[in-house]
Amino acid sequence: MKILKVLRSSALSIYGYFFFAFVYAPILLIVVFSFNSNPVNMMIWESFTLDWYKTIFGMTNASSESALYLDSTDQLYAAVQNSLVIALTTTLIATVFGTSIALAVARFKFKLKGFYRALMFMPMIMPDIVLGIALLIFFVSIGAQLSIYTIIIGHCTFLTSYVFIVVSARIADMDETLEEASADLGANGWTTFRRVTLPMIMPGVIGGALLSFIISMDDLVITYFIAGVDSQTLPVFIYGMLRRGIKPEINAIATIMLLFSIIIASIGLYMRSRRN
Amino acid sequence: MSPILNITGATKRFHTPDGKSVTALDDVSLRVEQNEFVTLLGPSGCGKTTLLRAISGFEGLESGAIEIAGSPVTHLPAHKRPVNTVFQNYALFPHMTIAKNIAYSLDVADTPKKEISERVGKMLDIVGLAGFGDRKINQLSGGQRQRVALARSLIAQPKILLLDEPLSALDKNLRHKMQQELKSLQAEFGIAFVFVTHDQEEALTMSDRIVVLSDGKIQQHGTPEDLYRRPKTEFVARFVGESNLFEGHVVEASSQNALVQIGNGQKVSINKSGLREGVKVKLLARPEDLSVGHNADREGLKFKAKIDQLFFVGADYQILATTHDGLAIKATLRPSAQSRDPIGSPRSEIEFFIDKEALHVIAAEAVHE
Repeated sequence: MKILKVLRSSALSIYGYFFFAFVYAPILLIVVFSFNSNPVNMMIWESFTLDWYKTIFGMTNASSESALYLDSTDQLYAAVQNSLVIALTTTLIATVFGTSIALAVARFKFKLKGFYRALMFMPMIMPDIVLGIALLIFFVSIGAQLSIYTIIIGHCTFLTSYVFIVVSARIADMDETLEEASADLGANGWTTFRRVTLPMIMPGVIGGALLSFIISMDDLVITYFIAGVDSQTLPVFIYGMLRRGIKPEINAIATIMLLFSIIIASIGLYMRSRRN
Repeated sequence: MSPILNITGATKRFHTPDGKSVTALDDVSLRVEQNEFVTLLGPSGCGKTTLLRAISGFEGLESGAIEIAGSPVTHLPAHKRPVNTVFQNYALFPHMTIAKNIAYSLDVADTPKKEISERVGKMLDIVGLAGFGDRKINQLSGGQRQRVALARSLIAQPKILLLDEPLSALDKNLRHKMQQELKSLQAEFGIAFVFVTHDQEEALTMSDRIVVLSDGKIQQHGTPEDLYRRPKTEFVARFVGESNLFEGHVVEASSQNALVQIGNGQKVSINKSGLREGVKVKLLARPEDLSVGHNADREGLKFKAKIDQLFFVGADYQILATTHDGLAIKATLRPSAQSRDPIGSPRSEIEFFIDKEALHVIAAEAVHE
């Protein structure tokens, strides 16, 4: 009996280790490869190098000049800049809209409320490829030129839902009598929103904003359809690079993006822990 | 002097999702005087909370009018009404310190910082929380939260303080303590308190006047003694205090007296005018109105009964008994100072006597005097 018990628990532990290995090994590999100096076959470890990082930061190292695969660092920078501008703008718009809609659905009485709530969930479950094609057709048919602005509009359509869902969950946890107490103590609607409602739902708002920032930064499918020639984002740019083979710089870019996401997620978790 | 609160004909219906409508307030009229402690008492769903929310401005009325200190507020939003509320769950702002919570109404009204800190300090003193200003709400006990809620709603010097079952979350000892504190706060501030509760004992203890509500209607309002001694309806008799009710009808009526015969055939003459012959009535006797044995000099009702249960509660015995003709009786008996012998034991026989002066008549249909 005891042996069975030990066996079962060790089997479960091994299963657990495998699970995490399966999830994290590929990501860990990319990070390791980004420091591998072998320019031809990254599967074979040559030696530790920071060359790929130097390349993407434009600090070309003479000794590894032959290994440069990046077409131009300017293109990479332009893509990063586009991604950041799009992500920041989208986050701002989606957060304001998503939060307002969440508040409206939670606090006001109107007809077809359930229907509108369902409408807000739809973009989340809609296949990206369908949304991408639909947006492309829409922009083309209204004669809009594909640019950074079409990407921003496109991202806002589905990121507003993400913010809506995250903020709605927070509002559902909030005690509505707090708003009544505020009004009772003489605060008008705007003051109540500023001093009570917003601070109470702030963790949800920040969470929604960080989520939409990360998703906007890394969206490929939808962006691919609605990006213009001169409005490549980082994921679209990387995808373009991949078509000419996996190059060592990509590992370095991926590692930096990973680090970036981890930092944003940590900020989110930290703020949440401080609130509670 | 004009009343501080004057409600006339307040009516409010709620529509349930299945298309029915529930009348929460049915033509309710109520006046509250300055410095009066009025309790709205009733079972859940009787409309007492709706009435309170109509006064504070959270519920609109279908018809009727509300005046506070002589000016109409019926259509005024909650934040413009000169009343403040202590909520059932206190509704303290968890993201603010205690001092910030208390200062909220002054902050919102752009009161100078210096005045705010002075008044907050004074309020903290009054409610016995001096030195707690910088703490967070989640560091407080239930009783302390209650005090913060009181301080927060009193600091703006409202004309009326509304209290929505504020003591229901506290344990019994703390509740008694807070009842006394509420009374002394009211005396100190000299404003009207409108207090909602479903606890009749609490209502009797604290109120200058009690308003009993049921099904959205005011059943009766009056002093605690009025409601306890002279309930107008069976509902009030049963809801306020313990009661023995004997069904009967008037067999003879004169201008001053009525002879009432109860179910088991006993007749008793009651000093009450305005009753017609044949009218169905109920006779109310409170448990402490019953005594043991009968007094031949006095007129009243006599019951031979068997004790079902007997509780010793310190000063008194509480007895549940059944009369020989099947009536259930509740009695509270206090042993005399001379004899400390037990009053009886379960299953033993006992004879109760109720003096006719202690009996109160409740007419089946309301009697207009």
